[in-house]
Amino acid sequence: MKSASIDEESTDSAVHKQLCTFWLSGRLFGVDILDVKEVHPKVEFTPIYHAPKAVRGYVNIRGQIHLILDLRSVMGFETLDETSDENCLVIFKSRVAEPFGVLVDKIGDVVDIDHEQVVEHKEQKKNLSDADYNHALTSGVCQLKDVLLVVINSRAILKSIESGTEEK
Amino acid sequence: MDFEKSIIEEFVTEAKEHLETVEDNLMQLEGQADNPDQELVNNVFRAVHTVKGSAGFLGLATLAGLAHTTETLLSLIRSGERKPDSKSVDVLLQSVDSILAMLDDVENSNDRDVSELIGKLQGVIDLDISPEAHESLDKQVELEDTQGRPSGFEISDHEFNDLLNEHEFIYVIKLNLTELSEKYQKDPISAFNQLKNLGDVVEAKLDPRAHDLRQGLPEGPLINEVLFATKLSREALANFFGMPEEWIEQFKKIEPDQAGQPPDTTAKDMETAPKEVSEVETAPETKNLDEEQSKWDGKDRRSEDKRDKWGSSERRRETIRLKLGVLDELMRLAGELVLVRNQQMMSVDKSEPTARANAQRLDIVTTELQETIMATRMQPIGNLFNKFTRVVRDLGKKLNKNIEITIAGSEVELDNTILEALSDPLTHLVRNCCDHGVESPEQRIAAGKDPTGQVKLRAFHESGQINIEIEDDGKGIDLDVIRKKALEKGVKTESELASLSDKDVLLLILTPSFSTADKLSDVSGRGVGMDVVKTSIEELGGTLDISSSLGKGSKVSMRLPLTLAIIPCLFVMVDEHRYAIPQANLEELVCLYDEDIITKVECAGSREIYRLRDYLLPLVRLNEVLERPEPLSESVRSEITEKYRQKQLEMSQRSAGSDGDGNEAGTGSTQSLNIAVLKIGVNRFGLIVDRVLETEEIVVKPMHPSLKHLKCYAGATVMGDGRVALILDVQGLAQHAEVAFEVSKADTTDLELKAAAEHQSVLLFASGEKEQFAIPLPLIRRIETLSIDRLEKIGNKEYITIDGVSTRVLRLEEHLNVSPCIEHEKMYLILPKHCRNQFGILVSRLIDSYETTVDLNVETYMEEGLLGTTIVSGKMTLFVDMDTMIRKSEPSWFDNRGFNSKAANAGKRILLVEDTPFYQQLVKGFLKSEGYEVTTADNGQEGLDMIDGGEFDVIISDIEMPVMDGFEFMKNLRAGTNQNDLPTIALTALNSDEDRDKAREAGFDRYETKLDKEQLLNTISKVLDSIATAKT
Repeated sequence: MKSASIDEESTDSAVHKQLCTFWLSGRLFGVDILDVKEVHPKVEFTPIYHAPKAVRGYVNIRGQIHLILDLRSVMGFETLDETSDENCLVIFKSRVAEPFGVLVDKIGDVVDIDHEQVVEHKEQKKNLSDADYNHALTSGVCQLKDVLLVVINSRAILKSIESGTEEK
Repeated sequence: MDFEKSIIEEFVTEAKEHLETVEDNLMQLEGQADNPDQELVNNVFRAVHTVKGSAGFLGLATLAGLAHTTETLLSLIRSGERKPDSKSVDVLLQSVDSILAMLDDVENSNDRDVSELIGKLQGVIDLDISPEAHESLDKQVELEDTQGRPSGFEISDHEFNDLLNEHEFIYVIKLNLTELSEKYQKDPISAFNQLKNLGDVVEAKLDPRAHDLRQGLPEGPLINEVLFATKLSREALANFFGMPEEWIEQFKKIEPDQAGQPPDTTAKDMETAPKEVSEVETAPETKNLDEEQSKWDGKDRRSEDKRDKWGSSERRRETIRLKLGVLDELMRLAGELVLVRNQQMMSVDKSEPTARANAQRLDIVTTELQETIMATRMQPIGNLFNKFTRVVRDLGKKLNKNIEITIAGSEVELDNTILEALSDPLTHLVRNCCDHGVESPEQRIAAGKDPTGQVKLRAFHESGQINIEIEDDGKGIDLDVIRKKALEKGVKTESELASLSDKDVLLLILTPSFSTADKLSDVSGRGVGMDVVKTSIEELGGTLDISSSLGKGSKVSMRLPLTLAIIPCLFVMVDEHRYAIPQANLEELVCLYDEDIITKVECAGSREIYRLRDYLLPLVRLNEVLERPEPLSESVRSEITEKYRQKQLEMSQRSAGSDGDGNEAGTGSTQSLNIAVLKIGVNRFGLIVDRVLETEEIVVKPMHPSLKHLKCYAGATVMGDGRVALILDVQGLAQHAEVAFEVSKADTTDLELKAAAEHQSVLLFASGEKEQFAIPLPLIRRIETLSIDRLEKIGNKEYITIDGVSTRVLRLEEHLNVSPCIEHEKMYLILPKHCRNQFGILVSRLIDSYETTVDLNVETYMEEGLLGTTIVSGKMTLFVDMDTMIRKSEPSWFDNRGFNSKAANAGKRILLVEDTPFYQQLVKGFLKSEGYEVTTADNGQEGLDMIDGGEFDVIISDIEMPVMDGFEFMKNLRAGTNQNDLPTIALTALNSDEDRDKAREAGFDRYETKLDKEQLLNTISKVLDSIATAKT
């Protein structure tokens, strides 16, 4: 039933969009809720040595191994070693990429936004090609009542660590 | 459109299944040429026939055409006109191959040219058959319907008669496919299959507008005309099939006087048909048809199953096809269930009987479920083995050899993935046996063997692995030929070959570009192969071995894991994290305790090594490797090695001093070092881990695609407690740690290279049973032989009288952490040069004197009384510092200068110009221990550069040096303006008055001979003192 309702909404996603929001270093970020599979409480990671810095490790979520990235590190914030109970994992759907998720400071609400509310980077930088656009980590910003919401392109998250390793 | 695609895919899979047994049957038929088993002939005929029908139906004209001609030949065999001799079977096999090939590439099958093959078939068909049969084949039968209109189909008289033996009516059914799917919800394939159940589809052709169904269904009604033979009347047929009667037209031969066909037997059929009609919807296979079918099906249960699939019968099916993805998902779920089970088992209250019983049942069921799912992936190896019957037969023909193949262990089951990957290597090996192994019949007779060669394929289980053996009784592998080839191809040199064992020579054929076939054939001998075979087997986690005896045959054996998805792994612990090491890479586990950790782990250059029996095992510390994302460089490796040396040294000192210190003793409990000996091919290395846990079977999950570049991991797995553990890639790990596998070899050659330019003679000797020691020969005055009972003990000191002088005897174990001296009747005493009071070092055995450049390693293992360590002939050798030793044991012999002036010397900079690394290190070592800061230069030129770059208090220089010698160096130095007053000391082995004068002329202030340490240190301090007084 639930999936059906989401599908209905997705049909007019051109106008309405729901974002799953979370906090990173005191700022609010959001990803398209249709990309999110679940929000999972933080569990213990299996560290992967040699992996890029942003990789926190592997976790097993119901029999499936997920790669967990520290979104703070991906976004260029300082990583927090001390983690509180509010930290949680946002796990993405398989249509986004191979099983992975991100560690965020705190989960926020689901926010309904109108398409016009989002100031897309693409509009700002018209000369960006589509490929560049897809690679850009943030796709736009959205002014909510009292806070600015940065929209993250969930498909670009993994690319950030891949390109990071290429540079090495 | 996906619809058509799926129809064609369905056809391909089905056709392949039909043809699966054909090859086998044909070969059996060949064996019984005189009296062919009718059952087999029917089976083959039916298979080809079905393919022909379906192909025509789908517009695959070329395929249908080839199948048709093949069928014609088969029908001759069926009717006994022809014998299934080897010629016919040959061409039939070829046709079946070709059909299979077209099925593999069905999209382009219509573009294929099969005319040659059809010609061949026709040739065999035309060959000496009876004229009547020939005529009946040639004569085309025109069919006409009741109104006398031609059918548009042409069949030969022979075929027609054949049909009428089985059936009574011939119809042309105009299937309106569009209507069929719209009105009756039947797709063409199911319609076609249903028709096949009702009779015999002789030929089918599509509406010319849609001659190629793959392009998509054309607009408007799509008509498929099917020439159909059956026993059913028109109405019955229409009823059974559920189509309008007007689609069906009855046909008969144009010649009305043709005998053999009752004009109208409808009445007879009608008697039975109506009875069945009511059942048609639910069970179209009526009794009547059942009889018909059982006749058709014979023993072939498989095809029966196929038919059931499309009919609506409730008959039991034995096999189904399903996607591997579904199985993988099932496997994953089962794995998850296991986890839940494990957690449940832990939480369950064992005291409560029902709960316990339930938990146990859950346990058992889960295990069985997992095993069953595993079993779904398993396939009997016979599926693969059987195809070699054909390979061997064909090759035998081609090479004019008589070869028989024996297959054993067909029932052994293997993971499907492995089975598929095995196909190519096995084919290659079998071909090799036929081509290189088995001789021609003449040669065999000459050798006194049975003219028929044997190739044996055998599979069996052994210790959780699958063993496969391919054996022939041919001429075996001639080692001399391999040696010759190896020389020719430059794989090995003559001397290298001489040192190889026969077994190693044999294994040379596994090296790339190595083929022993005298002439190239298209069967084998291109020189690519055995190495590829080896690689592919190893990729599967297996091993390959060859044995051969000349003139008797050869045998290739391989060992393979049962499955790739689940592998046994050893779990190890590093920093509280678990890692899995595939058991296939694990050779053995070594655990060292307490002092063995210090004494048995030696250092070679920047590496730690462990002497495992005769092998120098390079050691890799997993925790250090994991901490470093970049491959370990030379300097990083020495850093690591040094770190652990220090740690162990501290540890040993602590445990040595723990007697007096209670606190220390508590922590100084048993220390251990776990080494997992891992293998990569023939190479071994030791992985040091914190703890070794248990062995477990794990399900391998690949690494996340974003992390594929990490070479150290082979994958990950979910453990019993639900946590993830990484699987180590042994090969990647070794690469990352830059393990050099031939440590001893590499290092000695390196040393030898240097030795060509620089020689240093050292005396090798042993004191205790383990260590090897060395002292540079120039530092030894002489070696005295003595008998052990001449030693005199005063207090805890030992003395001996030599030349009337009482000499203090030192034992190495008194000062060094080494094994105690073994006492023999005859002992040796090494007396050093340059010592005021006489002392000697007691030695149990002199090993050798050795010419080498000594590159002393002072970083890895060091303790007071040593100059350093080095590797001499593959063994770690400790260089004894006699001076320090005697200082330690007899401090009163020396004045106070040495130890107390350390602080005063601090900050004094000495430039040491010396080309011999050994002396450089030696002098630098003791200068440093005196507190000086030492900079070294390898020759005069370097020395000058150094002086330009920094300030020094004293310069010590050798005289004989390459590039710029000591005289030149000094002249240049003194010629400079600002360094005239810098004190300089010549330190040289030259000891003539002439040299002394020359040195003084050049500008040296002092002159010292190599190497009286005491004297040199005194001189240095005097020089420095004089400067200090001059300044004040």
